[in-house]
Amino acid sequence: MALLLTKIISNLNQIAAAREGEHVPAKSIAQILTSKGVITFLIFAAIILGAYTTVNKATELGRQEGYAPDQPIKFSHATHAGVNKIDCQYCHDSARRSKHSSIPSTNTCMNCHAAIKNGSTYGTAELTKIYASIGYDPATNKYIENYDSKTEEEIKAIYTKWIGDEYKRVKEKADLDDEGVRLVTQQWADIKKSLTNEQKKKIQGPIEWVRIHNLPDHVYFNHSQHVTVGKLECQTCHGKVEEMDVMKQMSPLSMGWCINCHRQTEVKFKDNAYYANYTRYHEEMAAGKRDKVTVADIGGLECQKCHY
Amino acid sequence: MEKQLDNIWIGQKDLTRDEEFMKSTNQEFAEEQVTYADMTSNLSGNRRDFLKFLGFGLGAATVAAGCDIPVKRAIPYVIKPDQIVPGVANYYASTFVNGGDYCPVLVKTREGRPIKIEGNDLSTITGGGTSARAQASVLSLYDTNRFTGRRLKMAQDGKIHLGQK
Ligand code: HEC
Ligand code: HEC
Ligand code: HEC
Ligand code: HEC
Ligand code: HEC
Repeated sequence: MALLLTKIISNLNQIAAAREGEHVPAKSIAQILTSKGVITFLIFAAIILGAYTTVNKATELGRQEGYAPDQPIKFSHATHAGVNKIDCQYCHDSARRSKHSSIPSTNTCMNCHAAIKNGSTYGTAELTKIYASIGYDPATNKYIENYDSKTEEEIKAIYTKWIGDEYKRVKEKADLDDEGVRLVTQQWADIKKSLTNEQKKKIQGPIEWVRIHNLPDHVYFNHSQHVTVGKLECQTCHGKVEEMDVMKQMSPLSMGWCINCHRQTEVKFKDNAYYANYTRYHEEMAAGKRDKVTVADIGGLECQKCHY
Repeated sequence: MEKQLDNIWIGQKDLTRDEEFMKSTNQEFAEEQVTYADMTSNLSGNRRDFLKFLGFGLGAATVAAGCDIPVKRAIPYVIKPDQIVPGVANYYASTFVNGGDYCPVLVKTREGRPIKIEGNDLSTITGGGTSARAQASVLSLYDTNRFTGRRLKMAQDGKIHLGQK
């Protein structure tokens, strides 16, 4: 493009010079390419391009669209929210009333998994982690007393026995064979690895999930504002969660993403008590002067609404 | 420039005015100059090179390390108390007593931790008023010398003494 322009300009120059009667020798391509104008232009372009990509990459630092880390338990949203049609808010119950839509506590899992003890995909491997976290003995269907003060050996004895017994039950064997022993050791090692880390040495206690969505600290985001007041579906922002075997971040969580949606989305204004006191907009709607109210109209683009 | 002035000579070659030698004395400093080529080939550098390498190394290391996002964790409760919704504050009515001061207060808690003490509007006595001491008393809740639980002791006289070891 730039090359073409310089070529045209030099041609024009030449024609102009020829008109005036003097003869200027045509410049060769090499001459044009090394001329001051072209070199300055190229350097300038390189600086602009470099700066542009640097700034872009720098603002993207810390963003993690598509992030799908391994979790301590191979929990599948496809199994729970998809196949078994469990409502999102059964587990993420704080979404409608709080800023956070926190990850369910272990006792929420127990509402079902006190009964579902041997999964169809991983058998005892994954579900035993839930029991080891909360201290539930699946063999006796009882919560273990003073679980918090049990030593690792005691815990190991309880759960390796459970895994072994289940193996024998499923395979209809009287004794643990070599494969059974290998399976028990392997599953116990995995349970221990999943429920402990550098900071958490004990097996008992909370399951430390890897956090996926992460807005920077200077941004205020509120789930109840969007889910309860705005009546948005979880899937608008989180994608087709009910098809995900491994949870993944679908949206960039950038400022542009928030702003775009606020510009485009109409608020559900009619019959929503939350907006009752926006009288001017209601009057304008009634008078036919306004056919919609976007989030931007009610102040969704004001810096301080999102930035503390 | 005429070198060998007078009879000052410092070696045999000087004395005999050897052709080669005379040439080299004219460019006294030439040979001393270390060229860049043999410096790098020796893999030894001077102070400036050291600084360059240091700068580049530091820069490269920061860029490489800085792009790695640390793993963050989301840690839910094991057994979540029913009245707690993460992110929503709970308020408890309580009483501030200190010496002769008394004040009905409302304690704001987040996930079970008290973070703010305000007067209780519903009180007919104070009508929501507090004092600086009552407001500041939230800090004393984090005093490590506080009792961590209630303590009961049945004394000889058969009465219960609260808060005594
Ligand atoms: C059976 C309980 C359960 C149900 C039902 C459920 N989830 Fe989850 N959800 C979890 C658990 C446990 C995690 C943490 C593990 C993970 O990230 O896979 C999680 C993680 C998430 C995350 C990522 C959190 C982060 O770390 O950033 C999102 C987003 C999410 N769920 C959305 C949904 C949506 C949308 C639905 C409904 C379609 C749903 N969930 C249904 C239990 C559930
Ligand atoms: C509303 C009931 C319900 C709740 C709550 C629930 N699950 Fe499940 N879960 C199921 C059902 C049903 C299955 C399918 C069982 C199967 O395939 O055998 C399942 C399967 C699983 C599996 C796969 C087991 C396998 O081997 O196939 C894992 C892992 C799991 N759940 C973890 C969890 C965790 C962790 C929680 C708590 C955050 C949780 N579940 C909460 C109903 C529930
Ligand atoms: C308007 C877009 C939007 C909608 C709608 C939405 N979320 Fe979120 N969600 C987000 C953002 C943004 C974050 C990151 C919050 C943060 O890092 O503080 C997030 C984070 C989460 C998390 C991680 C834990 C947390 O609170 O930080 C879970 C779980 C979650 N959402 C579940 C849900 C569920 C379930 C629904 C539907 C009831 C839902 N979300 C609806 C945008 C949305
Ligand atoms: C899918 C569309 C969508 C996305 C994406 C979205 N929002 Fe919203 N947001 C809405 C809607 C709809 C409302 C209107 C709810 C209401 O009326 O208060 C809203 C309202 C808000 C409000 C309250 C505005 C007010 O005037 O009270 C805040 C704050 C907010 N959003 C922050 C964010 C942030 C931060 C993000 C990005 C992380 C974000 N939103 C992403 C749709 C979205
Ligand atoms: C709808 C919510 C919303 C509004 C309104 C908003 N911001 Fe942001 N802003 C965000 C989010 C989300 C991020 C984090 C982006 C990221 O992580 O990359 C952000 C990041 C930023 C940053 C850090 C640079 C960056 O891109 O990460 C600056 C500076 C900023 N905003 C300034 C402003 C100013 C100035 C306004 C008012 C004109 C404003 N914001 C209004 C949501 C908002």
